[in-house]
Amino acid sequence: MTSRHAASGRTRTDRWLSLNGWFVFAFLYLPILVVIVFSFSGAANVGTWGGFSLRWYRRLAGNEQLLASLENSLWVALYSTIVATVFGTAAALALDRYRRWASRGTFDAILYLPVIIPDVTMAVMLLLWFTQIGLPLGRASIILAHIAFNISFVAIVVRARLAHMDSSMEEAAADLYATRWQTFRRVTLPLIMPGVLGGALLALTLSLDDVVITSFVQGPGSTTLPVHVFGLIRRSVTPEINAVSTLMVTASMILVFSSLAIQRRGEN
Amino acid sequence: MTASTAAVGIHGVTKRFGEDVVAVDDIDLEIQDGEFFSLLGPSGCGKTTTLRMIAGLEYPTAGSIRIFGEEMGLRPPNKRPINTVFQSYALFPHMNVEDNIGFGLRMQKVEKAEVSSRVGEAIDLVRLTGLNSRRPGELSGGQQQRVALARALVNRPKVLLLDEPLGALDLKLRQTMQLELKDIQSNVGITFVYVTHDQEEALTMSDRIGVMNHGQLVQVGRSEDIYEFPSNMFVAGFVGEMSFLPGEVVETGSVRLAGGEVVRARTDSSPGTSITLILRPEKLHLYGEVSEVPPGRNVLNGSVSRRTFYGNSLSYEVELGASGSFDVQVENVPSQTRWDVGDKVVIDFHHEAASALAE
Repeated sequence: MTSRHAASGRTRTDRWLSLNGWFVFAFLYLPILVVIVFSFSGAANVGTWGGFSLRWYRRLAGNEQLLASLENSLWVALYSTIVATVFGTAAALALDRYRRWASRGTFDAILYLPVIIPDVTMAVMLLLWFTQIGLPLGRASIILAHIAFNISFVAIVVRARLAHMDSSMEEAAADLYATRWQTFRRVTLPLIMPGVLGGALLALTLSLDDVVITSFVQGPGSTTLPVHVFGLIRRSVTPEINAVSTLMVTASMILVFSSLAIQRRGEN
Repeated sequence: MTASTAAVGIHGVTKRFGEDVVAVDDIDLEIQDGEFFSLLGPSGCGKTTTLRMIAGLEYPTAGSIRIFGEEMGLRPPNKRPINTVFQSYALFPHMNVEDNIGFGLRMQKVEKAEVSSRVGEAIDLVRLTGLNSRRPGELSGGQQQRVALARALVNRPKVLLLDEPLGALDLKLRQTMQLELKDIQSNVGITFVYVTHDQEEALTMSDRIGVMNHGQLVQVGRSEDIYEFPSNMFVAGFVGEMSFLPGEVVETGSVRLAGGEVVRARTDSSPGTSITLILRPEKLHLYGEVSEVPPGRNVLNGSVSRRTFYGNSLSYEVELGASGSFDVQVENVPSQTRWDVGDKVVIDFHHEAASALAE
């Protein structure tokens, strides 16, 4: 008797939970799905279906301003990712290595701060700082800003990877006549590589998607794609936006999924 | 000068972690060339820390460590003529068996042709032939253990350090590997320093054993001496089974137990000293009547208070009244009488089998 009650009770809970799961997915992805569907619509108005067409994608390909902002975005993402990956990995290694270091907790907190504080706050801080030191706003300032927030994300991902690494690996390498550099090059780096690549892809994604911070620290002619798109929406919403959004969502998803796949493959 | 000839010379070595933790407390030890030496002790006794200091993975707070007379000081592990087999094996998961074993040689810039021939020899030595291109994750625990051993031995170190290398293996495999390790050691002739908490393992393999407790070396000696003549209560209790009876020395070679019985035993304390009489359970015999005991032996009367069956042997706990109680181990063979709880028995032992330890 009791066991049947318990069993049916559990099934009901399970059903509610799975329903809730589907609801969450619908809530998150239906709007994106709508955008993707309408990006292939031939109609001139957003939200009316005018039959399947690639006209908005064709128009994108001829939009010079948009292509320029895309180029900017790609350069910013490339440079900021490379630099943030190097520094973020180094920071993760340093924090992992000095386990007995008393102030490590403080350094952890400081490093993770950019992840927690609101983008707007970060944006204002960076803008003030760049103005203070007299750095002209442009592509360089955007790259520096992206490096600043990306280091933390890379460090977090690499730290997670390092936490799983057996510290006797490095001791074994040293015991087998490897210098510290050889130990890093031959043992540590290959073992944390999935974390480093995962962190780099995450950094790339975040850089390509950032609007708030970039819009504060950009200069004339250095607009990135998301900021440009945001500007377009404020003026007039054309179905072209749907096509851009679809491409951006696709690119981001590919990056995020590759990042996850690389991290997961490394764990096995 | 023994200091210059010893394979490993440890002199006045102390290791402190922080202010109050003393992991190793002023140790002096010399391990001879070609010796199989075990550091034996319970977890936290400082044996692994001692090994790590020899390897250069930790540095002593005080004292000196010499390898064949050469002071190691603050020399890093990669500059020491020593290799280690780690407890967790620490095999590189991203390299196959061959690359793992050849790692040390490649780091030493040994020629390619020589690397591959020496790696081949090492693989044969540990009987892993044919598994060259496997990754560590595709090997069994025993095979990983062999890779770790080959990876260290291939460098022909002057001293090989082993940190509980058999700890993760099951009993059968552990026993096979014990014999194999001992064989490999006598074949290659390299000094082995072996850390273990397993007294049986230490006794089986070692030429000499150093027993550690609370960071101190409490006894060093040949395996048989450690077992037969423990020099203090800790070693007596830690190595093998042992029964303890309180008493005092009457005269040289004679001891009075708490219940008044006087027995002959090995003594080295002066008359009147309080001692503990130590007895190995397998060196005692049980009889029904005093008349059955061979002449010239120690005889005590008691009664069986517990019987435990072990398969190949039986263990009886025998009560002596005021003198205490001890265990007697009897082989499970047809000629042995089986006793039940409550049976009156006569215990007999040779006076060489009992030692009086001063507290």
